[in-house]
Parts: sequence; structure tokens; C-alpha cells
Amino acid sequence: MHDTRRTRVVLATLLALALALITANYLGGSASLRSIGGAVFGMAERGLSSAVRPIAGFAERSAGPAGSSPRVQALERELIRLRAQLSSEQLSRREHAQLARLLRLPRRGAYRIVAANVIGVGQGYDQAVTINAGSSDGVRPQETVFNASGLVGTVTSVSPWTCTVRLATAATAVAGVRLTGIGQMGWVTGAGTGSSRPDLLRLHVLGASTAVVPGERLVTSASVGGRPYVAGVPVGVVTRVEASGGLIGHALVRPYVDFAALDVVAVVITPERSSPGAGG
Amino acid sequence: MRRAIGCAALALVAVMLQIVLVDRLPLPGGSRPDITLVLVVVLGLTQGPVTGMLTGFSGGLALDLTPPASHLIGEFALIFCVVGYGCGVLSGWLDGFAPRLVAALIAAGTGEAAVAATGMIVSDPGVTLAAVRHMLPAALLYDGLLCPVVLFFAVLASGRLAVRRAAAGPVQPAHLRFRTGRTARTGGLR
Repeated sequence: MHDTRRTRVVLATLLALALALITANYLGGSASLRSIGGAVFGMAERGLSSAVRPIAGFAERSAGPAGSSPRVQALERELIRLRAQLSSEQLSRREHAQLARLLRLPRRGAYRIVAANVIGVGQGYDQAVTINAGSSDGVRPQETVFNASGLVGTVTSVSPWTCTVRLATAATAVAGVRLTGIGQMGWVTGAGTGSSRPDLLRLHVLGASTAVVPGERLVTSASVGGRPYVAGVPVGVVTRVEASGGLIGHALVRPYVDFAALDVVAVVITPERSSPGAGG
Repeated sequence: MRRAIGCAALALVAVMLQIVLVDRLPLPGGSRPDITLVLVVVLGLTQGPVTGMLTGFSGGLALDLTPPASHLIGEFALIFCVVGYGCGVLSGWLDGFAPRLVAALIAAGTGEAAVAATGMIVSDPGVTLAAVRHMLPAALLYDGLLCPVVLFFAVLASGRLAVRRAAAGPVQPAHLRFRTGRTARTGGLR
């Protein structure tokens, strides 16, 4: 009898605690709890992931041609660095002159990038990954993450040694894009796990959807201060244009990035707006 | 109580393995086995309600806090705690491997469904009806495949522990100890 009563007391305590936590979420008081949890569990995650790295690498190697040997990783990092250079070059050539004339901005150096590895993947319905770069590397929320193929996502929360990246395929992800051929602006959203093709993105273009044709390439368009997306990162290719009579045209986009096999990624560290030289 | 805390710590290890290793496995069906849920179910069924709910709460809370989790904090803690308690209560009426396995399969299925339902109720944008329809069948299949394996090892381990305790224990004979242990019907089968 004593046992049952104690059991019930423990149960009631735990349930009350869980409900209190959920309530704190709704009242917006959970940010500090999440950051503490992120710091503690993130550190454990980082340590464990380096220990199990050979196993995870083996699983990925057996699944596809992309390897995770040191040499391949080094080459991937190099590719990312070159890609970043290229897109910032594109940005400066196409837009920087205009922007500078408009805003009378001093010319800033190229973006600094921090290379990192994916160390954890979201459980169940969470479409996010953890990477082993955090605020100690200068990463802040809402910074662009990409890899050798193209856009991966954006940083949503940061702890000292890790940060969380929301993938571009998540149902809540929205990224502004520019169609490289016709220069039209639009935005892509993730399809979420629920769609029939969860690996595709959905393109939305205001008006003139007839101009969009399959094979059209998308790059990210500029955001204020390079957050949440810096300009010029390759996103994907239009595969199918959906017929629509409305104001907004829709199309399906195949992303360049293979979201099932993410490993080496890079975070674009945007300079602080108040001190333009800080990032370089 | 010491065993319950040990089991709760085991759940933390399971969560870490889940995030770092299991969720990265390229399995078909777009879903991965939830090893934390299976562990909570199995420990509830073999160790009783207190261990079950402590394991469930700690494992669930770790899943809520470990990056890249972005759902509500406390959501998994609540669900897994209730699942662990339920399994612990059920364990009092079950004897032998087969009935426990059936209970484990049902409990794991209920847990997966509860996670999906809670996500929809709190209108998590990632958890839509279509997403659930896409992810749930594969998740149930993988959990179902994992259950007998984990249950087998848990039974083996709890049997070992019970025997060692009985050998080292002072007066009470082993069979009595099982029946009157602090968490009733803890440990050994049959």
C-alpha cells in the first residue's frame, strides 16, 4: 500500500513538473532553460559524436558514394570556401556597386565562414540538425548555413559549442530567392515531412508565373545585413511549374543539397552592423 | 530507488545515441526507431512503475532539451512519463516473455501515436496530418522490430541483478524478495 501511494506521489510530481515546463513555453519563459539544456546536452552531443564518428561515417558511406574520409572532408571544406568566395564575388559584381551607390556603404570585406560538421539530427518531426560550431566560434542566430552543393538552412539557436540549424526543407522555413535566368524574385518554402515529395522545395513567385520554366536555377536573394540568408547561395533547380490562375505562381524545386547525407557545412558569419570590420 | 536512478541515467545515454547516431541512419521510410521510447517501455515493463516513469521523464526531458530539438520543452517528458508509468502498472499483471512483448508493442505504438497527437494538438507546424501519415507507419515498424531485442536484454539483465541480489542479500529468500520487493514484481520472469 505504501508503495502505491509513493508511486502516485512521484507520478503527480513529475506530471506537474512537465506541465509547468510546457506552460513556461507558452509564457515565453523557456529561453534560458533551452540555452542551459543546449549548453549541457550540446557539449555531451559534441563529445559523443566525435567518438561515434567512424560508425556514422561507415553508415553514410555504405548508403551513398559520398565518403567522410579526412581527404574527402578537406576537399569539401575547400569547395565550400571557394563557393563562398564565388557567391560573394557574384554579389559584389551584380549588386554591390548599386547598393554602395544607394546606401553609400563602405566596402566591406568578404564574409567570414566557419566550417563545421553535422553532429546530431532532429528526432521525429523536427527538421533540424546540430552542428559543432557555436557562439565561441562567433556564430549567432539567423546566419546562413550552406555546404559544397548549396543552401542548407539558417541558424535558429546557438549554445557555446553547438548551434541548431533549421533545414530549408522544414515546413517553417522560408527563404527569399532570385531566379538567375530572368531575375525574378520569389521565395521558397520547405515541403515538410508530410508532402508526397518531402525532399523538394516549393517556389512562390508573385505574378508572371508563365515566365518560370523547368531548369531555371535559384539563388538566395539578399536580406538586410545578410541575415537570415546572404545573397547568391545556390538553392536548386525548378523541376515542375504548377498551373495556377492566381496572383502567385507555384513551382517545385529540387534542391542542390542532399539533405539525407549532410556532413561538412559552413556558417556565414555576418559582421556586426555597428562595427563593419568585426567579421573580417 | 538506486536502480530507478540508474535506469533514468540509461535513458540519457539512449537519447544521446538517438540524436548522434540512430537519427542519422539512412533507413527507408523517412523514419527512425525511437530507442528512448522503446527503452522506457521495456524498463517500465520489467522494473515497475517508479522506474518506468523516472526513466520516461528523464529521457523525455533530455529529448526536449538536446539540440536540435525545437518542439515544446516538457512535451516528450510528459508523454514518456505517462507511458513509463502505464507500462509499470501493466507489469504487475503480466508474467513471461510473450505477454510482455505484446504489451511492449502496444505501448510503443501508443507512445508514437501520443507524440504525433500532441504535436498536432499544440499545432507544431512540422506535425501535420500528412506528416504523421507519412512518418508513423515506418516508426511503428522500426519500434516493433526493436522491442523484442531490448526486452530480451532487459529481462536477462534484471534476472542477473535479481540473482546477484538474492545471493548477496541477508535473510529473505530470492522468490519472496521478488514478490515483496520495493517495486512490486521487479525483475525476474516467471
